[in-house]
Amino acid sequence: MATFIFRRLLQAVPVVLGIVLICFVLLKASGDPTHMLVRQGASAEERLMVRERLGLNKPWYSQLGRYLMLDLGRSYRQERPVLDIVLDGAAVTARLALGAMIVAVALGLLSGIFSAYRPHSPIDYACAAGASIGISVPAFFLAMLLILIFSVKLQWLPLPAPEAGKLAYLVIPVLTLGMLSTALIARLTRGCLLEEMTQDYVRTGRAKGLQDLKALTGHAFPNALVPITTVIGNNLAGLLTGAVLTETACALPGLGRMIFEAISQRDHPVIMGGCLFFALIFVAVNLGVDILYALLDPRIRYGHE
Amino acid sequence: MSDAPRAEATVALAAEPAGPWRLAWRRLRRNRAALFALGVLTILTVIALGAPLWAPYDYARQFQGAERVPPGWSGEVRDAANGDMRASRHWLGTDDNGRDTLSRIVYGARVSLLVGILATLVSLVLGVAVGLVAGFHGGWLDAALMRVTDTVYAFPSVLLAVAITAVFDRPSLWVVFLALGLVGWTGIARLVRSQVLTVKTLDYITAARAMGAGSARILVRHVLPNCLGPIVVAGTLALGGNILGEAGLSFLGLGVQEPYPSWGGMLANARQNYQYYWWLAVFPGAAIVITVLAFNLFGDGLRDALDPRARR
Amino acid sequence: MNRIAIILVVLVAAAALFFVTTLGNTKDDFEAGAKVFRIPLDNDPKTLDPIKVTDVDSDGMCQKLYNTLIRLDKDLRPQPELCTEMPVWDATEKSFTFKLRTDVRFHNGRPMTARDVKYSWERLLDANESARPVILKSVVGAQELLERKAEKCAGLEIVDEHTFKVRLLKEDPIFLIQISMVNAAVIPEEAVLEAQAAHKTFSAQPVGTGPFKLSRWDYGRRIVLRRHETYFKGAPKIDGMICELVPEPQTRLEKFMKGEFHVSDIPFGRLKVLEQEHPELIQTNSSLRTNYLGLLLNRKTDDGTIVPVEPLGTNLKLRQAINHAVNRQYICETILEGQGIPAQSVLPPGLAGHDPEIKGWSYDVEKAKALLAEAGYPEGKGLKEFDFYYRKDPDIEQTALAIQNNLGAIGVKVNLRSLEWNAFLEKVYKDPPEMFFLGWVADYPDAENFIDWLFHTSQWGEPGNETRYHNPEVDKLLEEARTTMDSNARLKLLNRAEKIIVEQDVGWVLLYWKVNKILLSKSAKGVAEQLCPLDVGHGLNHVDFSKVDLE
Repeated sequence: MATFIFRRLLQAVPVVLGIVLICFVLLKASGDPTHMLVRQGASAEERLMVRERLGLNKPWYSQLGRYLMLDLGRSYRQERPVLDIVLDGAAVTARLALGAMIVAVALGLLSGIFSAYRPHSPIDYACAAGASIGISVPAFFLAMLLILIFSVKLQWLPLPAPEAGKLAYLVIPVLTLGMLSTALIARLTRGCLLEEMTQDYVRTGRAKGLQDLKALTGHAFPNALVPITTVIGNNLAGLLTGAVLTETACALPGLGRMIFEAISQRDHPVIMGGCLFFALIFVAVNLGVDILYALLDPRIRYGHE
Repeated sequence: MSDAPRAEATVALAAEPAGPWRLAWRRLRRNRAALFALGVLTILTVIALGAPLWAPYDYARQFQGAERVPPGWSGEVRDAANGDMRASRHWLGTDDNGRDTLSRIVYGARVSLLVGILATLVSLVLGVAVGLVAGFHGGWLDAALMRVTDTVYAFPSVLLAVAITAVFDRPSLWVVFLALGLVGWTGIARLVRSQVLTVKTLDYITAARAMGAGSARILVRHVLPNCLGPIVVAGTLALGGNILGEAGLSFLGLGVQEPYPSWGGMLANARQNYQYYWWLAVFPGAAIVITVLAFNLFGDGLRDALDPRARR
Repeated sequence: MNRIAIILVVLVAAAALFFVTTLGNTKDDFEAGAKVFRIPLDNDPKTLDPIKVTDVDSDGMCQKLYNTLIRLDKDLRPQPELCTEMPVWDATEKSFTFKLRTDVRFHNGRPMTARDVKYSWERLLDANESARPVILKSVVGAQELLERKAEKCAGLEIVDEHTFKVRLLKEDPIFLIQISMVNAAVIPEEAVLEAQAAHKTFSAQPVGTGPFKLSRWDYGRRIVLRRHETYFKGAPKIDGMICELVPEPQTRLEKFMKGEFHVSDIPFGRLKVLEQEHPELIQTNSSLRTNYLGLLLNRKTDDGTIVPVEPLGTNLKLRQAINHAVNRQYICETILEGQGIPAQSVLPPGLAGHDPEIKGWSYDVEKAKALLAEAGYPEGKGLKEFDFYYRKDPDIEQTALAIQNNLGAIGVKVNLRSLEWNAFLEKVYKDPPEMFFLGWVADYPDAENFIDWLFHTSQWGEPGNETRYHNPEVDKLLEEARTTMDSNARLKLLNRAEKIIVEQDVGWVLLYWKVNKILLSKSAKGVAEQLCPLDVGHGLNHVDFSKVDLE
């Protein structure tokens, strides 16, 4: 087990370095970042001063070297260390992603079990249609619709504001972000359960008079959990990184929106820090899922891919 | 941007005498949802191709005096281009500049479909190339290519696309589909690689190699055709994902250039006041949902048809 | 297999627990019944360190925390603030002497002295920290300090505890206006050192002399200010301010309507409705912003000679035709819903030197068509298509669309090209497009900040002359104005230059002067009468909140 984890960590190193490299190339290719940092109408000397202050006149390899040593320094725009900015944003995004995950697991499993319990029934078809639409709706449009209905028309929920600490403000973003995962988990649960139901041991149980529901929840469900857990894990990483649009539409100061704004403001250290953070989360979550997967399914052996 | 788990669905083709493609078509014909989706897609294509025929007005025409009018509005307005007063009717209302929403949605279909298709092609070419080479060559090249794939995959895709568009002088259709294509190939590469690994061990490949066929020839003549089914499925599903991606980039302000319309761009414009003028958001959003839904349903149907195991 | 279910349940429960426990119940910053003025912010301020301020959001917050020696009144005239009287210009010694007030205290309780002024201004000249050292460019020794050739600035002298003298290199008629900018605010040295010792920035724990002090700054959410009890003009009547970050304009408006804010801006396309429903809540003030359609006039060849650009720079009639083709009235009334006035001259109304005699260009399609034909392009035949660049921003985009339509109507074909701000500026500076939309808002309210900065040949490109305007006659007038201390004579020179630029050379296609319209709660007393052209948006930047009360 330890060697397995070590190997996976070793594999993650080039990924993280690769991200720094890609980021750096893109940053350097996206032009001079100082235009927005000086006032409009600044002289050439003023800009030179800014470039010196930010270390932009150093040779490229020394700039890259700093980033590779994970020395992020301070944001170009805000008077704050990059780490503080990234952690602030990450706290919001994490809460959003976790909320979305809870909703997705609960709703997804429920609807999957319902569908599998009575396949080809109206409930099954309704769930399938819901899942199809859930996969096809752009997150930001869903957010706008929910705001139009629940905040503007019915006035049950507050309008979007950066209040990630209050439940009422989180309802719409969490639903929006959780939509895709809910649909995926629902589909997968249904599929896995139906497959398990055709297995011999379940058939035998049913032949012996075991009730459908009991066969489903008692026997098929635990076995179907293995693939479902993997998908949930993979989705968690996707939720964390995919929150940009939801955060933008719902005015939440999460990490995704922060990086997006940093890109349009050419705030290089924040872009670098944010992307690195995302990469580390991604690696960590994937590793966690693999370990969990291994724990859940004794058939899996570590050591080789 | 596309949802990766489904794009990676593994499919194995059963080599049956009637030909796998014909069998698949037979199965697809029985899938009502997929057929319906195919119909919708056909209609969408017709709408996009013949946009000037169906759109009531030009997409850029501004009706002064009819700014932000609700759906179904009709009245006398001034045509900004020549100052004439003329009667106009706007079935889906107008936007902040007095442009007809229906016309813009009709023209917007062109952007969505074109970007979706081109971005998918870029992803397919890249993904298939990387997957084939990695899977077939193996060894260090495989390891290196897969690390590259992991890196791109670990990048938040929307942000990577945004960063790519930031490199270019100005956002345009070309930049958008390139960015989406450059982001979306990882799933396809992994899929093709795993496919190749399976096919590689088959007897007839070993036989072909023994007969002295070169690597490139084996790849193109024998390996690629065997992976075609899953690639087609992944491509169809990626189309829907890329249309969503285009809409997302437009929503963030990085879409095609005004005055040319795109659905995501219309939603982005609506963002500042859709709470008061709901039609600015609802109609373009609905157009996106319908299109993506059609691609997804068709893709699902295609997968079921090509993969007998998945049939129930 | 139950193990799996347990693991899953535990994981989900842990997630749910984390989710619920981290939901903060934000405690109130003020006890019930306290008078708290609430302002929505569009963006977090970039900094609360005065020497680093370049943006409107930071300026607005800093104005509440700091004071400067000189403050501009409602009519933009310099008035003494931290000093007892206006300093007099000593022509022989070329110096200003400031008599400082003796009753000024910092937030930390220490009285302010001349030493603090010297420290603050030398800090403003620290090339490593400062964003606007240019304010003090005409002070003796400023350049040396900036280039680190000197330790101290020779021109800043402490005469005694409460007397401060500034020696200038030459006559500078706008020095007193420039030092009214918040960048020149007075701060205590010990607070900067304390922040350093705590490995924090001064911005994170700012100390000034202003009517309010920072109580809490939740980045990305809110800034809480508390009353400065020993404020030298008397403690403010309100207990504090809460500035809450609300990025969505629609949310700002709704919260204002529910009484959660005392002020708000007006979302796009909503002004007409609000004018009918709540006319009593709308406050209007002019602002010092002129927006224009820039035409690239000249370019420099490799050896530095200036040559006009074909055809826009060479063909005066073409520029006149474009000017007549733009329907400014429509832009102002329909797109901006009255938040703009068709611009007739470069200097906006409300600024000293604004000359109503200068007549801009009217909307006249027939005349435009005729001029275009005279220019050699009847109905646009033979004329190239122009790329029109603008910043990607909703109201600018809609203005650009209207202009594209207007120009298309006379036969001038224009392709729109939108870029986000940084990329747009880079384009305009390095590879200027032939047409672009740009605005200029006064750094400091003086005609020189418009005419000289935007049209003198030495300001070529980046520093302000983005259209690359070049006219030796105008240059001469502007240079003469630079050293004219008599303000009337100086403004006359600037007006003569402006007239040549607008009427004779058609250097700009003037579009509109921005008008600021905001919603202000009836319960806010003492705000409306203070609004002046320096207030942009709804931040109430230049309102003196020590005079504001709430009912």
